[in-house]
Amino acid sequence: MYEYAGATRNILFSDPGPPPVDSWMGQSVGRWEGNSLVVEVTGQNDSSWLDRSGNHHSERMRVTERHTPDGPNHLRYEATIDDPESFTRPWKILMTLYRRVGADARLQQFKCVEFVEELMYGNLRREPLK
Amino acid sequence: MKPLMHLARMLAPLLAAPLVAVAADYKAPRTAFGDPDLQGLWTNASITVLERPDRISKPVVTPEEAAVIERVVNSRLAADRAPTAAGTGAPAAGGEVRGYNTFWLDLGSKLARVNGEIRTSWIVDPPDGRMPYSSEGTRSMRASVTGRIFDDPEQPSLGERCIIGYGSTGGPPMLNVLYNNHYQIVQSPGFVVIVVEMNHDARIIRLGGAHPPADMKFWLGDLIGRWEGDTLVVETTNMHPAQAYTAGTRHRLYIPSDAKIVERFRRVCAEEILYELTVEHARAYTQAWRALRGKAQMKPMHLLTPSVAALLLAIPLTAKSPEVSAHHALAAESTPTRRCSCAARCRASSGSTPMRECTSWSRSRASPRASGRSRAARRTRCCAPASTATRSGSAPRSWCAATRARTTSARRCARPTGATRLSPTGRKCSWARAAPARRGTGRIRLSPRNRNKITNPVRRS
Repeated sequence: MYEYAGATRNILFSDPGPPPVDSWMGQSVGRWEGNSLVVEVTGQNDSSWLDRSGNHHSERMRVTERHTPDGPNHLRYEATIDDPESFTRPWKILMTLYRRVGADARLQQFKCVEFVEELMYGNLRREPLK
Repeated sequence: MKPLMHLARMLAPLLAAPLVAVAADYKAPRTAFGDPDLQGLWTNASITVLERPDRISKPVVTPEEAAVIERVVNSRLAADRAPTAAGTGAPAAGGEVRGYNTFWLDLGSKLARVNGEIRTSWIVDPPDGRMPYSSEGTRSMRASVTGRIFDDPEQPSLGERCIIGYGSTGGPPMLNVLYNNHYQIVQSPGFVVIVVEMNHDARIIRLGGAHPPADMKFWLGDLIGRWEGDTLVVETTNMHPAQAYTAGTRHRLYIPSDAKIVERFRRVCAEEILYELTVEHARAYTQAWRALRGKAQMKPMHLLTPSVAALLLAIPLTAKSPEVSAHHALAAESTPTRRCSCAARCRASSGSTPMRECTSWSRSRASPRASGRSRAARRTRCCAPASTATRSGSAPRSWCAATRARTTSARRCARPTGATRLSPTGRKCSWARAAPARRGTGRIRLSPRNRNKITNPVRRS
């Protein structure tokens, strides 16, 4: 589960074959390699960007993720991005995820309320909407 | 024949008793960390709805009566799936284009079997299967109705805005609607998470802990659970007040945000979870036994039966795209129908429909004579937009916009159509009326007109 956008991702541990349709988050197939959870992601559509500067990818992108615990509260996250249509060679990112250790740690809600300007500044209208 | 049926009714509880006993002996499997294991994909798709429908006088029906009801509903839905008649042509400019038909829906084809009973309402208490609103509750509900004013982007209903699923799919109570009636339960130490297919909501249940201060409000509320034996007991508080009123095409519901809401999940066999919900509010609800309890309760029960695996894969997509539908059909075809093996009543309750048997309440252009036959048909008839927007686009954003266009046209729908002849409740948009409290008379009512519907659901009486 992701806090961002309240998204969820199902990781399948038996490969159902190629995804029948492209989707925003694709199809994730996982396996254990020693201590690592390895996830192969395919079938993502080409409509999302990798960042706000517009780094893009095609629907042929394959992402291989590895989640490896580096200790009780540290998770090493590696992702190899392979997309011959967009990049000259596979490339990789790596970061450490830190466990939230607070007793009250929990995912917050992310509900995309439309036109937040109205929500935040609507009271400044000469005649506020009801 | 009649005495025989009467005998069968008398015997039904006795016959059901040993089956319940079998289920009572059932011990849920345990997770690796020792909790009862509720994990898996589940569905509550059914033609049973929250409240007993107006035209059925009993909340519990016999197998024979259930067969009649199921036949009526399913033949009506099948008629809607028929191809458009050749030469029908395009609707006139400004005419109705109707919503999606049966093909796109997946509401199930059977009444629910709950504790050995075949039910027309999820509500088991009050026994008449209807919401026990007090006059104050009815007033508050009317005041809470959303989705009818469009001066502000935040005024349409929450489901239309894609904030939470429509019709209380995300709960509580987790109600069935026309499609996306699937839930995935995932557990880890200290947590149970229910992923709701509709609107990909997630109900995160903490096991233990305290609710936050009352002035903090959350969509779907703040959930704290505990295990009582094999039963997961969940209390929900801090509900967002905008969520108090919710409506599906077949039900509407009002639960004040300060109501006491307790849900119970118990796995009664390998392939069935019994879901029980109790709502208490001292002012919004009332019943004859109010004197006994000092407050009223309503208590719907759900049956969750196992779903076809992999359906939740479709979550990030809109369920309206033909590709997804094809995917669903594939999943349904490649997965054999699973049978519940632990008890007869479980077998009887596997009411989920394979995705290929999609069903609908709206009417196709092919059968104009049938217009107004059902409440949903009436709504389609009088609230359809004057554009083809409802079919355009598959991206969530455009779908929302399309839905808004459709609902906007509903605003203009204040005039009764020819359909009111069938039911006096059809005046205005039917969901805006107050639910009259009706008592069960002990037998199913089938007027001659309704009998016509059984034999020929598209025939005008």
